[in-house]
Formats: sequence, structure tokens, C-alpha cells
Amino acid sequence: MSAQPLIRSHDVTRRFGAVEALGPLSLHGARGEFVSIVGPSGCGKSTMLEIVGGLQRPDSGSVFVAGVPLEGPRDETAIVFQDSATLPWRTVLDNVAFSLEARGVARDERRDIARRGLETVGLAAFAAHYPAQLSGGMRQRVALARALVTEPDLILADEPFGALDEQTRLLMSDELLAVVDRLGCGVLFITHSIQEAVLLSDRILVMSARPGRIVDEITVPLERPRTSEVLSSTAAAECVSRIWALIRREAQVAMQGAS
Amino acid sequence: MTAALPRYARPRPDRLLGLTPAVWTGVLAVLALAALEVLARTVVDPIDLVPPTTMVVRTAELLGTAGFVTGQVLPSLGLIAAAFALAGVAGVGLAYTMWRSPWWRLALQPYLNVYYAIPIFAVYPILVVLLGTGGVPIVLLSAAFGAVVVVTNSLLGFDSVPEPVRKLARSRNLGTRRYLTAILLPAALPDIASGLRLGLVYATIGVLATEFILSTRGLGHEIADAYHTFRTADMYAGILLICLLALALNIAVGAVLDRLDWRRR
Ligand SMILES: Nc1ncnc2c1ncn2[C@@H]1O[C@H](COP(=O)(O)OP(=O)(O)OP(=O)(O)O)[C@@H](O)[C@H]1O
Ligand SMILES: [Mg+2]
Repeated sequence: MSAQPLIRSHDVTRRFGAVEALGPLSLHGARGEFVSIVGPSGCGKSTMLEIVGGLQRPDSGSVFVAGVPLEGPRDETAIVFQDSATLPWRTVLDNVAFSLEARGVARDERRDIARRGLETVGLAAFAAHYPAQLSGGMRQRVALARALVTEPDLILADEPFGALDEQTRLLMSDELLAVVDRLGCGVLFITHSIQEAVLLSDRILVMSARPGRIVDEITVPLERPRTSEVLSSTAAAECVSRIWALIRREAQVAMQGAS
Repeated sequence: MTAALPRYARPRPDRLLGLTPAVWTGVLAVLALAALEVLARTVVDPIDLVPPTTMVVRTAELLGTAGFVTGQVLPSLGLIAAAFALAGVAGVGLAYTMWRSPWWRLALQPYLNVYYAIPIFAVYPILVVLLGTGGVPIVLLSAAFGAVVVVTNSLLGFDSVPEPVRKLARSRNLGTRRYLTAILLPAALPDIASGLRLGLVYATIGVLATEFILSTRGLGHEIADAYHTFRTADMYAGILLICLLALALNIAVGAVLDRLDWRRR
């Protein structure tokens, strides 16, 4: 991958009081590249994502996005948060339109775009519902649609499919792959599912237990464009078991550290 | 079918003696009025306790009297509306300044905590000295009485924006103004609405009570005057009228405020 660098972070650290949450951590990602992060619970994945999103400042280290030192949230970055942040007083349609509204897109136009976004995530029939009337997984899809409709150049996603069942998860993965291919954007994607990471990613970063550092990096040897069918190939299966062997160690360390 | 179910699994009856709870609400009111009627016509002197039927008749007569509605009822309602509006605007506005500035909030909070411990009606004579009798001191006092409950509820609402929603707003670089209209106010609206409901009650109490003490007209003054001149029937009719008006006002404004409350959708 010799594409233009989109994210470049160098020796980023973050602490909360006495708790060393993160780093030093360096990572990079290119335009059009799908990078996943896997690692044990509490290792600092969400923290790192928010730092790249400009929502938190690192205590030390540097972050460049699109060649510019990061000063705060960028309009061209879309974030899907771990707890899908829907606005309960708005309909599903106006929730998706929110990110366009923040950008000043006119009402009719943003609703048209939002409607298409809802079709992508299979929720067109729920446009007039309120978030409280949806399941947790459906709310996650609303949050994903809200991120996609802005046509970002960088998507930061924090376990966006965490509340979905296996089948919906695979279908949403296919949709995400298609959208990312069309937009040509970069993706930083946190997941607990190794299978999901293999299906979606060009590269997978394995994080250590807290304070999280990158302990391994795996390039996924699968052709693009992909759909969820690649998961039945031997290459994918081998990749999954290799990553699992790596993560097992870190997960054990994290469990012992927590008890 | 139900007989086959064990007792604890059977649905609880939603009727008593074949009547629904809503019907029982009405039955209770009728029973209370009937008891009052009997009491007034047998045990207690009907001069001291006027029977409800007489109250209703007298209320109707008063409402028919020339100048009563325009001279007494409407002025009181106007003062209540003005006091309520002032309490609402000032209350939400003050709460917003407190939400914006933490030091200002910390400085004011102790006053809010003890506010209702002080009998505010005691300062009415001061206002009369400064502003004279008439509508202005009544509105100011009643608005002051109602505003603080609006402030505390609005603050509750402003504080209720969930952390993920705040992060979302920040990631979209919403300016102060957009944040106010798109996030903060809608999120706080249900709590502001319940503050306004209480504010209306306080404003109503404030207006009628101050009219009672010192005003020269209005419903509160009518009742006080009837009381001082031993017109017992008029006094009871006025009390009944106030109760009915306050109830109607509360239901009407409550219905409007309910529509703002997205938690009820
Ligand atoms: N706002 C905060 N205040 C204090 N400590 C925090 C805060 N946010 C995160 N932490 C701490 O930082 C560490 C990393 O948190 P983070 O949320 O980044 O983990 P994570 O890898 O996303 O975990 P999970 O997979 O469970 O979501 C945790 O130990 C957490 O306790
Ligand atoms: Mg997390």
C-alpha cells in the first residue's frame, strides 16, 4: 500500500489520573485502507479512537490526519460511537440527517440523503419511528447511517456491530465494505470479533492489555473487493486462528491484571 | 379458563363493583359533595357552611352579574398569565446563564436552596411602597415566587444531555447557537415543561394570595371582601370559582406542555 497517508500517530500516550490508559502507541492508515484494532477490554481502544477523532488530546505524542496536525474534530471525519448516540427527541430519519444539518445542508436535501442512508442499513421502513421504539442493534445501524451519509474521508467506528446478531452483522459488513469501496475513505475500526476484523480489514492491529500498545500487526491476505463469503475460505480461517493465538495471551494478561 | 389458573397468576381485576377507576374518581367527588351538602343542611349552620348546591347557584349568579367577569375574573387571569410568562422566561433564561457559567452557578446555588424557606409574601409591603398598589407589584412578586422552581427544573434538563450525545455534538463541531437549538433545548424540554407546570401553580397562588392581602380588585380581593362583610354565600362562590378556574388553567396549559415532552411519545 503506497497510498497517501491519512492517519499518522506517533508515540501517543494518555492517562486518567493515576491510570495509564494508553501507549505509547504509533499507528498509520492510508486513504482507502481499512485498519482494524483488536485488543482486550479496557486496553484503551476507545481512547485511541477519540484521540484520532480530535475529541481527546493525547498527553504526549503527535497525531496527523490528512497531513495536518490534529487540532480538534474534523468535519470530514465521521465517528460511530460505542454507545450509539441517538437523539431520542428526533425521528430516525432526522437522526440520520443530523450530521448533514450540522453542515448546513437544506432540509429537503438532507432528508433525501438520509432516506437513502437508511436504505443502506435496511431501516427505510423505520424512518418515522423514534429511537426508543428501536432495538439496540437498530440504533447502532442508525448511528452508522448517520456517519456514512456525510461521505467522510475517514470513518472511525467503535464496535459499531457489537449489538447485532451474527447474520445481520455479516450483512452490515457487506454494506460497509461496499460503501467504503465507493467512497474510497480510510477506516479505523474497533471490534471484538476476530472474524469480523479478518472479513473487513486490510490490516489488523493487535493491542496489548492496558496501557495499550500495538503488539502485532497482521496484513490480511484476501483479495478485494470482498463479501462475507470469503469467510468460508481456508485463507480466512488460517488468518483467524493466527490472530486468536496472539490475542489469547493479551486477554489472559488483561484478565489477571483486572482481578 | 381463568378458573384453571392459580390465584397469583390471574390478572388483577381492573374494576371494583363493576366500575372502572375513572368512574370511581367521579364517584368520590360526588360522594364528598353529597356529604358536604348533608352536613350543611343538618348539623352545621348554613350561614357558616354553604351547601354546594347553593355555591353553584351563587357562582352562576355572580358570573351573570354585570362587570363581574370583566372587572374581577379577567384581571386576575391576566395577572396570572403575565406572572407565569415572566416566571417562565426569566426562569429558563437564568438557568441557561447558570448552566453556561459554573462559577455563577456555584455562587447562586445556595440562594436557590433556601429560596422557598423564606415567606416571600412578607416583602409585599416593600413592593407596594416602591411600586404602589396595582398589577405591577402583584406580577413581580408572583413571578419571583414561581421563577425558582422553573430554574431548578431547567437546570435538571440542561444537565440531562447524555455523554455520548455531547460527544456526537462535539465531533460535528456544532457552534454554541446550533448546540442550543439542536441539542440542549430539545433535550431539556421535558424537564422545562414540568418546571413550567409548577411555575403556573406558583404564579396562580401568588396572584390570588396577594390580591387577597392588599389589592383593590380581582378574585382574591372579592373573596376577602365577602369574608370581611359577612357575605358567606359570595365567599364560598368565589372559592369555588377559583378552584374551578385554577383546575381548568392547569389542565389546559398541562395539555400544551405535554405536547413538548418527547418522553411521552
Ligand atoms: N473518562 C475517563 N476517565 C477515567 N478513566 C477513563 C476514562 N476513559 C477511559 N478510562 C480508562 O482508560 C482505560 C481505557 O479505556 P477505553 O474505554 O479506551 O478501553 P477500551 O479498550 O475501549 O475497552 P472496551 O473494549 O471495554 O470498550 C480504562 O482502564 C478506563 O478505565
Ligand atoms: Mg471501548
